[in-house]
Amino acid sequence: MTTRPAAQRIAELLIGAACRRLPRDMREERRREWSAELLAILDDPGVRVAALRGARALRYAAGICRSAGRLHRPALGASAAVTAPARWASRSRRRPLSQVAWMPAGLTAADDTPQRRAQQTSPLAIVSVVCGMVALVLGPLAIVAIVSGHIARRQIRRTGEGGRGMATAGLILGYAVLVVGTALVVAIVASSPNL
Amino acid sequence: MTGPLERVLRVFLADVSAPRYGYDLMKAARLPSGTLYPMLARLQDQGLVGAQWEQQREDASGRPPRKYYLLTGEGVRVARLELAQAAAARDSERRSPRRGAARPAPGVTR
Repeated sequence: MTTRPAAQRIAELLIGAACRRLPRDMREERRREWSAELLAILDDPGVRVAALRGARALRYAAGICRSAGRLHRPALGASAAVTAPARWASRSRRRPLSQVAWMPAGLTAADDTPQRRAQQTSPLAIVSVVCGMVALVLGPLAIVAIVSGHIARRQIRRTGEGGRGMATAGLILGYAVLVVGTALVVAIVASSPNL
Repeated sequence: MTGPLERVLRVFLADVSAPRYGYDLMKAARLPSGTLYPMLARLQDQGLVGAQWEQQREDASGRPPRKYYLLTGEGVRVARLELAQAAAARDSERRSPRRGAARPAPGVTR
């Protein structure tokens, strides 16, 4: 069974990328929480097909990666907030700006200028382009390249991080491998005399 | 109140003494991880949900401990109130759909 270790490794990579976007003091706890959940998904007795559990684990990790920036930032506007009485609101612990979640480790608010951010490369863009290249040998990784490429481009558009070119390269490689690989599989199956 | 939040509160209220871990909540409330964890973090900030690490069990099955979430006492009270208000708003909406100021949020299921 090869899907499980592959799915687990990629999911752990995504969780690691998400954790790096959290303030340092909560990274370790989140990593332990999410890793334990990942194993719960991969060992879920309610899902019998191993590939489905793997897909679920990847979807789980991708969702965490996408939402890590929203994790410990005070909600903007009233979207989805419990309309709690005012005394709840006053009790809620708001973090000073310098600790806000999307700040990469070691940076202070003064460092978080658009110029500085453009120097940081989106980790997901790296995941995408690496998976896209490895997919030339290991075809199914194309799916990871495509998913992470799309997420990376969306994050880059929002945060102004660097790595747009890498994410696009990962996407192109991923889609190319997907199309060519699918065509090859169809051609082989169609020409097989046994079927 | 949005549909996802309502579903999470309902899952918690189904048994207020049963702590739930993330994947368990995702399945029960049919929510993706990208929606659930930010919501739990916000509820924790508001003091409505508490979290606790599972005690390391003696049988040493090799499974890492999970983090469990549970409504606080205040959380139970606020959740019941909010769900009742949401239900009442939908009720009055059904009776007089034209005047209903309180529209159910998109995505609310029953």
